[in-house]
Amino acid sequence: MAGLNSLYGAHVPVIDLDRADATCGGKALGLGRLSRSGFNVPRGFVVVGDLDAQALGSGVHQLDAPLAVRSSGLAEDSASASFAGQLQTVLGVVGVEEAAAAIRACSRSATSGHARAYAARVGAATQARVPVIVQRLVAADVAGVVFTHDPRTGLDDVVIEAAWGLGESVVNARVIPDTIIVTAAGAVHSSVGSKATRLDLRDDGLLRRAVAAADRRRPALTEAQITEIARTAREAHSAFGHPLDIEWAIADGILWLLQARPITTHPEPRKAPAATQPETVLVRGVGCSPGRVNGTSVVVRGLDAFTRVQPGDILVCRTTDPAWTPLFSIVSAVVTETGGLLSHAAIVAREAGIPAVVGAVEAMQRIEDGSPISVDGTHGTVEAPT
Amino acid sequence: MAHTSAPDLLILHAVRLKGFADTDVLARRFDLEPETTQAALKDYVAKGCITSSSFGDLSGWSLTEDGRRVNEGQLRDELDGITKREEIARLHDAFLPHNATVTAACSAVQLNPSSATYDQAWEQLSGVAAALRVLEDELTACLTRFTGYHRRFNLALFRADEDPGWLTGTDLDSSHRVWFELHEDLIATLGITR
Repeated sequence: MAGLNSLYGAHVPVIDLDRADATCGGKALGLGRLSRSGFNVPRGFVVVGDLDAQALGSGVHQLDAPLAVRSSGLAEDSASASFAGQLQTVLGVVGVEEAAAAIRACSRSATSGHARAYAARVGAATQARVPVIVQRLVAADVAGVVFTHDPRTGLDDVVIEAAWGLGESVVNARVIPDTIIVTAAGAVHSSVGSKATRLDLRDDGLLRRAVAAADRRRPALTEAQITEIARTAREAHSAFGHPLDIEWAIADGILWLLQARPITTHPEPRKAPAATQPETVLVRGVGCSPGRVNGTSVVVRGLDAFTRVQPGDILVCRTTDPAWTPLFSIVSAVVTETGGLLSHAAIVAREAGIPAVVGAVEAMQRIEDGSPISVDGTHGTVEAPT
Repeated sequence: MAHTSAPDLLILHAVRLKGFADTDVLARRFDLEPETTQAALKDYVAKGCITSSSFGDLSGWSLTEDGRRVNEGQLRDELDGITKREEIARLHDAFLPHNATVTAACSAVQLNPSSATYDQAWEQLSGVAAALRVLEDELTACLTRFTGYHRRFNLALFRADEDPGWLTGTDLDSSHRVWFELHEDLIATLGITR
């Protein structure tokens, strides 16, 4: 503890999430408002300014659980600017040392070139340091997001996206989620997504694993859960007085709200900008299995390399080979240089329910091994993140 | 006179065809004794031809790059030994139009799942099954190891009547999986690529 004191200096107390106000940053303010309105929000606190070692130690000890550490936003997430995805999150943090390191990383995330550029573009002030939220991590069985307004149609329908495990899979578009629309009249329209992998907190940390075929094909939510999520989202909408984008999680039958922010009038969609900038497209091919997901590429050149592939990776290869067919059940998407709509890769990818782009000439040269990419199996493109 | 392959060739070839499989599956592929198979696999490991790996809950044997070269060398020597290369090449040419039908029918069922599409696909695949019977007879007249594709393909179609998963599934011996294996067998035998 003495070591931490010498690193962090002056005493500024941590602020309980229940009492978070605008000085705690946009995310914390949203959570504070939800909590004060009676919604189920995981317990936590906000670190504003210099870190106080004793307060941190006491806070972490009281939460007594693995933690989620998130930057709280450069400015209030307003209706005109959402800083979604611009700042840092660290999940599965255990103990004071790790918490201090995570807080440091999240606090400095405002200085990334990316975040500064975003702030300049939307006319927001930048801060040298960002408030950081430290909260209990919900070990979700199923999680996702819910909008109380459909940005695609302009209707006040509730739109739910759900997948297995922690909500990061939906928030960061790592999987194709189930989509459920609950209209104002109460009609429910569902479409089941493949939800091909899941992230869970295990004893030794976060682990992404493949989801079994049967679980890909069945809905992640029961009718009762859909009803509860929709009702809770509408109640939050009423409490805040405007449409909301809410991150939720269900663990052991209990629904938690993890984040609430206004639906921006000019949405910055999680998945893709409305118009794809040509320079972000790495390679084009035939989109033969629909959907769009993000993930880390693994460029497999031969039989000796395919054991490098981890659950949730994106497989990039020349053609498919019987040796690689089992990989289709653990990856989140496939890109092949050869083949077409009717090829083996296409057939197996569709079976697995994962996006695939085939006939992507020179994909193995244009996609760097181990890099973050986005595969759109509907439009046949592979992109680098914008 | 049809040629019967040596067990060593068959065991390594089983790894090629299955891609990734455990010892039992490999033994059953060509109806070999588990002990014989186990011993041969151990030998191939020592030679660096195969390796064992795991994905999640699955584990099995697969070829190394060296193993693939050894497999193709064995198949080439076998084929040249019985001087049937031209005949197998002719049968591969006869196979290709049916390959187009199979991939189109399987894709149609996936892209446009309806009972009409399914019925039409099933009809087309039944037509291919009839052609496959003739093709297999001609293949096995050269090499007995080509036995079994027609029986498996037919069985998949029969089961697909109750469960459409038997047309395109990857976790079972579906019509698509059987067909894909035959394709791999032909290209490996001839030493060509798809």
